[in-house]
Amino acid sequence: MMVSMTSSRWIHAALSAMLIAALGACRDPAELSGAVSAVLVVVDVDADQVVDVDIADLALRARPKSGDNLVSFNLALPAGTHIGSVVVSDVDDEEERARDCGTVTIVVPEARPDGPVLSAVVADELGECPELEDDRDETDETDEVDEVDEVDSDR
Amino acid sequence: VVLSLVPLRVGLLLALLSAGASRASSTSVPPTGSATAPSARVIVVVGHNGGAPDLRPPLRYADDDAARLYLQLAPGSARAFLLTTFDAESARLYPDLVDVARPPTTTSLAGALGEAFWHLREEKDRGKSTELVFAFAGHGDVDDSGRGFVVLSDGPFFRHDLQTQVVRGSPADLNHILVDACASYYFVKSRGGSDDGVALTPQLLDVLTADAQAAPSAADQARTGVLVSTSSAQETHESAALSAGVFSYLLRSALAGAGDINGDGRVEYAEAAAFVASASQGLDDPRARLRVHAEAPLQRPHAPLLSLKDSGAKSFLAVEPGRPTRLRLKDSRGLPLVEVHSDGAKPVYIALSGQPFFLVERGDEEAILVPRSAGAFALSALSFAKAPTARGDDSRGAFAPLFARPFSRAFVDGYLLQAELPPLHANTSADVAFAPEWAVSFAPKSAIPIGVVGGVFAGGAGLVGAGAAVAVVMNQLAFSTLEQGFLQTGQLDPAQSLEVEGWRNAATGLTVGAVGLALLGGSLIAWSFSLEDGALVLP
Repeated sequence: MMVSMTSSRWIHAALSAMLIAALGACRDPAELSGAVSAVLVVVDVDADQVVDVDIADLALRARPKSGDNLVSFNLALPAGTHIGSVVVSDVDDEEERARDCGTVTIVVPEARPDGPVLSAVVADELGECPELEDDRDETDETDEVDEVDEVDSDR
Repeated sequence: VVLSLVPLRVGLLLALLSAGASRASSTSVPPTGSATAPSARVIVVVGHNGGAPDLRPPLRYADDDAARLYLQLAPGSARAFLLTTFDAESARLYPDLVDVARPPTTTSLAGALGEAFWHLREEKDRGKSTELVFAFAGHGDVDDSGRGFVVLSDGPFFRHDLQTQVVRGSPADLNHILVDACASYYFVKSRGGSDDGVALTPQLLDVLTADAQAAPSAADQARTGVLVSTSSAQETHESAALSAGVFSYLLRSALAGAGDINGDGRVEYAEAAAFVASASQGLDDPRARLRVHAEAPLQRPHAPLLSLKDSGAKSFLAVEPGRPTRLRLKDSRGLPLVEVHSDGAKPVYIALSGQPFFLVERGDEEAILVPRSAGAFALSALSFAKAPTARGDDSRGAFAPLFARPFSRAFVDGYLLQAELPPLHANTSADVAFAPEWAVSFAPKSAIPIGVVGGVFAGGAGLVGAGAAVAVVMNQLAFSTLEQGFLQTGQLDPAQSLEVEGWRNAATGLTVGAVGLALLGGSLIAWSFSLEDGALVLP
């Protein structure tokens, strides 16, 4: 009887460990959403445009969803002030042309009782990308797309 | 070295003989008569305890043995004769037979045989096959000229008389001669100082053995079988605990069905002789050992001494296979009737007849069996209860080791090799197996194999656990894709998130299921160890 009791405990422990291990091995989307400290929303983005955000060590790129004119970025930023760049580019037949460029400053406090910090940028209020003006001139004149790619690449 | 080689050589010889026997059995034809109409049987049972003027100390149970064999064989016979004089005790036990029994005299026997032969001829005229069963229980001895005889109340009945009056005179197609003789007189004389006696061997009463005065003809030999047992002294011939002569008790058990080792419902000479040998093989006292001689009719070596189907019995106790079972049946008076020690390889059917109810003893528990309806009564369907008093074998004295070992096919095959009896038919397929219908409400109880169910649950737990592992892997892959997209776009793809969640939920559910099944299966397996045969018998 003692043996069976001991065995029973071992079996119970082994099965419990199996349950815990299986649950622990599983991943949850909340692991990603829970780390988000700031949300950057870029509005007035056309359907044929793509938005690139470069802030801290993050380089993100997204398009507006169908029917939307905005793009939101969930950013896992540490506490502090972060200055990054926002570039809105036109996409046409796989060709991209940087159109609106600007900077964005996001301040992430140590404590965020209300959740992630929300920042919004209006695409139309961003300045035109300097390189883009040159490119546009050249494009208008020469219609050479490769140079735009180079500018974009340089950027 | 020589000693060690002997068993090897014997083993080789047995192996060769066994191979030959296997070939013989594999080429033999099915038993005739198993599917044909039953033979018309006439039985003549003689039992004589002895007593004055005979000098031999009287036996106690020869009359009882004759009565019980008569009750066992009469229901399946066309005509039955009982020749015995009951002592006072037996007359109380068998009041219905007192008026039936004729005196065990040579004259009365001649009359009974005359009637028996007349009946047999009548049956033959009707076109039936016929059989005569002649059985004797009582004293036997050897006269000064070396002639074996059995003792009737008015004098000796010699083997010569058996040959001429019974075997040769019988018109039956088959004769069965069963003799249970106690040769106490010779040993009494020996103790008295005379050493000129000759021990009575079974062969001295074998009607088929050549006799100077009346050698049996080849035709008589061909249609006659003998089963003879002799014992050396009264104290080892009878058992008060059995209320019977030991050989008669064993023979009765064999004929009741316990000897039917191949399950065809027919107890042949070979089976009966092997049963007696098996049941008595544990006897340590050399005086208690039975000397049995069996010869089956040459014409019909597989002729049954008794066919359960034609025995007249309507009810049977079914000892189910699966495990060795040892039990004893007592009659309504509490007297031992039949004993069985099955090895569990095949079902054993014990004919129940001649008694209003039976007491079934198994170990230290017992059950009452009232055969109210025809059919088989499963042993597992009986309601056993602890016996109020111990039912041990101590009271058997020298015969306590009887039935110590189970009766098995392996023993029978080995016994038949050295007994020079024909091997049993290998044909024991379902079409010839004896299997009466179950009696109403006495079919075997349903049983849930808890161990097997536990094993199934445990196996299911393994499968579900494997499913859980797959779900975990899929969750990891889906999360990896989600994370990659998140790091590139800063957005959580809802569809991908749902997939991750789905696999996670599946893994959780399957793991919980696997753990639950494993716990349940393990518990059932553990429980099964405490159950008989690992099964839960339903009420």
